[in-house]
Amino acid sequence: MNNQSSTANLDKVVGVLEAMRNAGIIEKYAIGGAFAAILHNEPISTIDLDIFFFLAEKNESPILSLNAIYDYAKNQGFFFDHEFVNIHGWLVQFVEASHSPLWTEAIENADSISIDDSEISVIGKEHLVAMWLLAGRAKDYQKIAMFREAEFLDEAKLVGILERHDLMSKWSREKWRFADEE
Amino acid sequence: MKNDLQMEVIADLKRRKKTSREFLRNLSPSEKIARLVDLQQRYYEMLEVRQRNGGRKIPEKWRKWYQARYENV
Repeated sequence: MNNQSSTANLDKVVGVLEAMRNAGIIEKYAIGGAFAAILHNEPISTIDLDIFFFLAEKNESPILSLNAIYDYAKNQGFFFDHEFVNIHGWLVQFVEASHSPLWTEAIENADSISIDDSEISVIGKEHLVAMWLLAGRAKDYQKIAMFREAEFLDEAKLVGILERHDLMSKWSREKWRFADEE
Repeated sequence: MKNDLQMEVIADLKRRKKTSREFLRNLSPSEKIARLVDLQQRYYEMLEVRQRNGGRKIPEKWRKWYQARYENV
């Protein structure tokens, strides 16, 4: 296999996202999912890059259409594979966030992280935990446990987010899964 | 019930795990991404070897990853 640059063209992906914003296709965006977990914590295996974003032009239809993104990607010569757009070697999944108050708040309050010469918006640790709790899959709970183990969460901030989004009861019910190891 | 030696071994393993995780956590974002890329490549190679040796096929999502990274760029 070829070895590519250390960050494997991620700066180019950021460039494409900025170009999409400048072209009026997307508004704010932030990296989420496992990739965000890596940037906050430690490298874990993932194949894709989740981008949570707001569409610049709101759809009239109740069914969400990402045609503007796919059209843009097609014009730029990027490959598609179902839910993924291949941007410079990264499988990017675009997740429109405006229908979810939690995701919206997560993007609005995202952290800014420097990667080489690029600044990129990354969903904050506590919002990620709330999003994983809401999703509730085994792999989401593993990431919550990993974050708890790192002891870097702002507990007051996390509780605030969980309360605002009606997730406290689920947290209380499920938190045994994320308890520190004895 | 664990004896003293077992408790000591467990405590040592926990210390090592904590040190290792702290090291990884304190890497720069670029270093973390470089490690992710390395992790992805090694994992894919492992899947390829498994398939070559008559084991399970490479999962579809990892095939997509390979195509994206090396074929359809």
